[in-house]
Amino acid sequence: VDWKEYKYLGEWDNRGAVTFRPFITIYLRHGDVSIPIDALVDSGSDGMVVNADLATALNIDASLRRPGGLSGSTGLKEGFISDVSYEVAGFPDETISTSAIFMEGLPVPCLIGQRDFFDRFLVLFDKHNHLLKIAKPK
Amino acid sequence: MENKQGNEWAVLSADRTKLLALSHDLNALRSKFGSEGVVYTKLLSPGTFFAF
Repeated sequence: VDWKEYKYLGEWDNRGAVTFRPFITIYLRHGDVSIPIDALVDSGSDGMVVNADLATALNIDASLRRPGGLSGSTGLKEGFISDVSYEVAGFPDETISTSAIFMEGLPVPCLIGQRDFFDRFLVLFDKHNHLLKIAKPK
Repeated sequence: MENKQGNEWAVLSADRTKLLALSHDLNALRSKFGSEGVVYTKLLSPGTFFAF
């Protein structure tokens, strides 16, 4: 298996604390628009969840937005669903098409979860070394 | 440059060695920085002044 490594994103705050999180770069696409964003690899998410600011940036107009919401351990929140595709940095030959849930106020650009991402990639979280390792299964 | 309130959009260099700009307006950042050689993220921790 050919593992590709991605450094966790570290945030260094004004109290001197550093927090590392497993973000990777994806190219989120709709039509002719492609935006490089950080996606948080979230094994607890069923599918892709995207910050609603990106729907405007991707030119996803109201006619392309279907009603939908997200239920989780903290309750149910309304959003909307739209079709997008994305490419994971380092895997240029694989375009993943999916229906994403867009949420206002999502504190990250995007979550990628079990459907589409974990379905397609082997994923290894090396928290000790702040590395995320991804490979295509043989 | 400091993410004082937390959760602003941030533009990083593609190799994540530089924090280029912060704003609550993603479209304004995209107009200025485009899509080449950068990555857009949101900084979670209030007070973050450096990301790597």
